Amino acid sequence: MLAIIKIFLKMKEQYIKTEMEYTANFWMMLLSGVVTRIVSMAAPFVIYSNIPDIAGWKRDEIYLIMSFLFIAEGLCSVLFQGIWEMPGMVFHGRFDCILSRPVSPLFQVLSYGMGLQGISVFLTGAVCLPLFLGRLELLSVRSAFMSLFYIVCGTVLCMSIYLLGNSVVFWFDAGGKTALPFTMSSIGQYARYPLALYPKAVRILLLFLIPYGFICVVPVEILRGSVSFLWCVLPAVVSLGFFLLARAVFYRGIRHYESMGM
Amino acid sequence: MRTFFKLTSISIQGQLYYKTSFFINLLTPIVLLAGQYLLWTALYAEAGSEVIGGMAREEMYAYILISFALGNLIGWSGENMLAREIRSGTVVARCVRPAAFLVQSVAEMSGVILIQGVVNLAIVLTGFLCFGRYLIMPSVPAAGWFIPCLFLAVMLRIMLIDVFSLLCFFTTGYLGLAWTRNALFEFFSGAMIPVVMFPEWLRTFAYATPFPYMLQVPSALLLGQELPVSIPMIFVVQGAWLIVFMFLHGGIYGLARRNMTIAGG
Repeated sequence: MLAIIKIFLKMKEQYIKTEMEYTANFWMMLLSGVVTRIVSMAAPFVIYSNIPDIAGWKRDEIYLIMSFLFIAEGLCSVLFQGIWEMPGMVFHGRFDCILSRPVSPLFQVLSYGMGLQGISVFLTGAVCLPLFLGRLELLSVRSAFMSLFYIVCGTVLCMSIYLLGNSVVFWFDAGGKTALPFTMSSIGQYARYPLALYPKAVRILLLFLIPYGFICVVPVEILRGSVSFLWCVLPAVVSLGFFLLARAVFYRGIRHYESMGM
Repeated sequence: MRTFFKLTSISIQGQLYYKTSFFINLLTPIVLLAGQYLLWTALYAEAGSEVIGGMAREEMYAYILISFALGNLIGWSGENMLAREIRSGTVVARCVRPAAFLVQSVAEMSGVILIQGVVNLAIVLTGFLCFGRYLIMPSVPAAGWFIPCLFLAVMLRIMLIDVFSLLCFFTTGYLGLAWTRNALFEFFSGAMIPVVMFPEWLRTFAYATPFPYMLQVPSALLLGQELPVSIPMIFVVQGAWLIVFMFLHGGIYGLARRNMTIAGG
């Protein structure tokens, strides 16, 4: 296991070295991560300047939800960017290389490439999380450990959702692109606001079908103490369940792969 | 114009080739539209008032529908065609074609916008026909002013994408540029939240940028809402921003062309 992690980190090190060769692009990617997240944080700022309260949630609590989401998305981008390369790999036949190497195809896909913007997205979240925990008077050793646990669960869940969405490429020919994971990600953005705002069908969608709710809203609900003990373990259960499902779909998809020109 | 229409038709064919992808691409903005509707419905219910930030519920629903149609005229793959060519080096084909670089760029994006525009128009018309009693209806004179304003707004959007894509000659990557451009557009154009709801200082800042003239201003004009300047001045400002973008295009492309190295050339 340690050897696998070592190889994984070594590969990431090589990718970051390659990317840093292109200085302008490197800094532009970092800047884009910060700009996109600051802009998305500006939306609640404007909404709260017109409405004092949303379903009993304060503005800082919305920012706390966003912090969890940013950290999970950022880590996913840095560590598992290869998932987004899958459509291109399959369409151009580069997936052949993945299958011919004596290492797990899933491991190779996950360790492939690196999303530079993820570094700044992660850092934005990492700065905001303790800041807003403090402002909400929720900062303690217990909440720090709980946050770390939910970040790990959220990152695995985020990766599993991306993997599920991108695995569709094995069944649908779309010229090296697939819009489904973007659609899933767009739906997930609804989870930036408390789920209580939405109708029941949307809540079920965000908790069990495209479970972005467990990445960001549920951890904040747990930290606020507004849900029962059962909810504290659900993020881990859902993350594990979704990872196993995504893994199964990925390997089932590989059976459909017909090499170059599918 | 023959060259322009030929390039536009090639672009349309390219968009329609992968049908599954094309239909899923159509679905994504509808999902976003549904999200906006759900969010604002909940916010109006929470506020316990029919007016938020000076916008009545019917105004907001109509605004969401119109701004959805204008904001989603061009998808991710369509807006990054030029940037991808610059990154891969195939942009050289554009440089040798017997048509101006800008004409090719505008023609290609027009092809993408035409298809999505027809789909968006159908969604807007369906929305107004089915849910008209929950929306404020545009007046005929407003629609008359809206059409030239929309044309200029679309041209501004195309030029914004073109100028940002040209920067790819210098950064060698386009993802960061495209994300930054989209984030700025979505927020300052009013696609995310109407600019009229911004605090005073932020609204003044937003109106000093070209973004609201691509979405908020045409939508407000159609729906008879508050405008930052008089109607004739809107066209002047849009025209002025177009000239600025054309100068930027000329400057950046000229610089890139002088420093361009073509493999095998």
